[in-house]
Amino acid sequence: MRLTVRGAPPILRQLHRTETRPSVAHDTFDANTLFGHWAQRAADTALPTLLETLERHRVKRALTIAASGLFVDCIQGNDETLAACRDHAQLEPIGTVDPRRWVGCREELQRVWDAGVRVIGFYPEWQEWSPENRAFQRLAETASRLGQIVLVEATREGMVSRIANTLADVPGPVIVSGANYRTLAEAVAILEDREQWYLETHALGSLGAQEIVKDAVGIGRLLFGSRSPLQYFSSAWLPIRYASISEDERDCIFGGNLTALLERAHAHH
Amino acid sequence: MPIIDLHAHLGPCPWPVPSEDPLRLVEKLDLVAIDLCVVHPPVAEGGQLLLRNSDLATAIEGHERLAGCVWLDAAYVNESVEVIAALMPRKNFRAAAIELDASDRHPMSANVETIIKALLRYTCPIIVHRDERTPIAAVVQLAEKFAKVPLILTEFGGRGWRQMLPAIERRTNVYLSTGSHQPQRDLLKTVVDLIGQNRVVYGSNLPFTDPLVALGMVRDSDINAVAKDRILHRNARRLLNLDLV
Repeated sequence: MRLTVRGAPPILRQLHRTETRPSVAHDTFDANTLFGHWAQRAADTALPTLLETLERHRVKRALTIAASGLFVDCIQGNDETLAACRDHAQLEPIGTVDPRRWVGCREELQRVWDAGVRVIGFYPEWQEWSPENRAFQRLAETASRLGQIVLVEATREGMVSRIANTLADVPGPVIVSGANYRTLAEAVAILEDREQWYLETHALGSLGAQEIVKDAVGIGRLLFGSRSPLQYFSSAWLPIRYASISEDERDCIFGGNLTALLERAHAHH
Repeated sequence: MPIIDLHAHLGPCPWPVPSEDPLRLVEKLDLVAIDLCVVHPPVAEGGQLLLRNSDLATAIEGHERLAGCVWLDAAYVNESVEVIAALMPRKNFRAAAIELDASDRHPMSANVETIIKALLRYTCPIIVHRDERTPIAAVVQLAEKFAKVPLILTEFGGRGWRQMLPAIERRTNVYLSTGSHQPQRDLLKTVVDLIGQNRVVYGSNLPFTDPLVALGMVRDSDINAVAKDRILHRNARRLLNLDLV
């Protein structure tokens, strides 16, 4: 069998230049980055690695969270997140509270709100607690009433539906992180019911996923996230860069939607 | 530089992905400059084997950049052998795919052996899907037993993938395909450092994963240009016995 080689289109030419010409994501606002010791396995997720990744791909802004807040102590993690964001203007904080702890968590929400944190992340799969957890419900409602955007990790089938049930009374925006081709239908069905719910895209890598969300609920509900530096930045960025959507729609996903969402959260203050 | 995709799907599936339309697939191959894409049905169990593989043969007809890969099921060995006899003699079928698990489809079962023996005359690579319960030691045993048959494992980056690497390190007919829902940033370099650049092939897992996810992994990884070249096409060309034009 013979293989006829085709001419190299733009993506392939970029691939050839990978050592010296990284993807240019000037106006990208990344909704999902992290830094610090990664407890689940050996991985280079140090803060300098995150900064280098953002610099290499010329990402303008990024929401970020210290991994210690997920795996060790949410208050210590919030301190580390706030310190990193003070030192590096391109970083903006994702705070967190841990429903397994509960004690002192409502006060922590107020403390980080006062410190300027507008997004609060919850991680039921990494931290292995149930989405029906009553403490989670109370904390998410408290955060939302303060004006914070709630971000929730949900990758497994059924998780986003259970989270939606628990967060039925959360008045403000909710970002779901981790939707993939197996959970896309479920996530879209939830978004059709909840006008203030959004999908972060790092796992949304199936063919045509952006178009499916666009047709169902509009492009305004997608927020680009890479989960850098735990995952390859380009693996999250390229599928959206070359999706069959308009340039305006691409700009919305790469940062416009998240910027507008955060502006509303700040205005609430 | 050519790109050969050794792991993609074409046929009906339960999820909201455009998995049935060869034109949509080819449109994506055009965009990404994939020169040849080896496709198998995404779902084909039991009584569906003959139908799904036959549908695949019809769907790729006339698309020179799509090559067929028969989907086989060790729980249905007679049907699998029938599929092999019907489709593998065709010039546009270049590979076989099989799912291995810990029960009816155990790698060391007599059924798996029968199926691989039926494939031997076609000297094709076998794409191996396995779940977390499939014993990797048994997959390695299978690779030892059929040492001249290339086995391409697809679960790159899944849970426990690091633990798998030492087991396959010395089995030179075991390959890894890049398609992954979890493109962990150190993944490709770790694999290349341990098993070498000659045993990793580009596989997108289209349409469940956009081919740009795996291309992004290759692009961002800290491996040299020669290794990228081998992953994107040279290793696959060797396995598929392809000449460049």
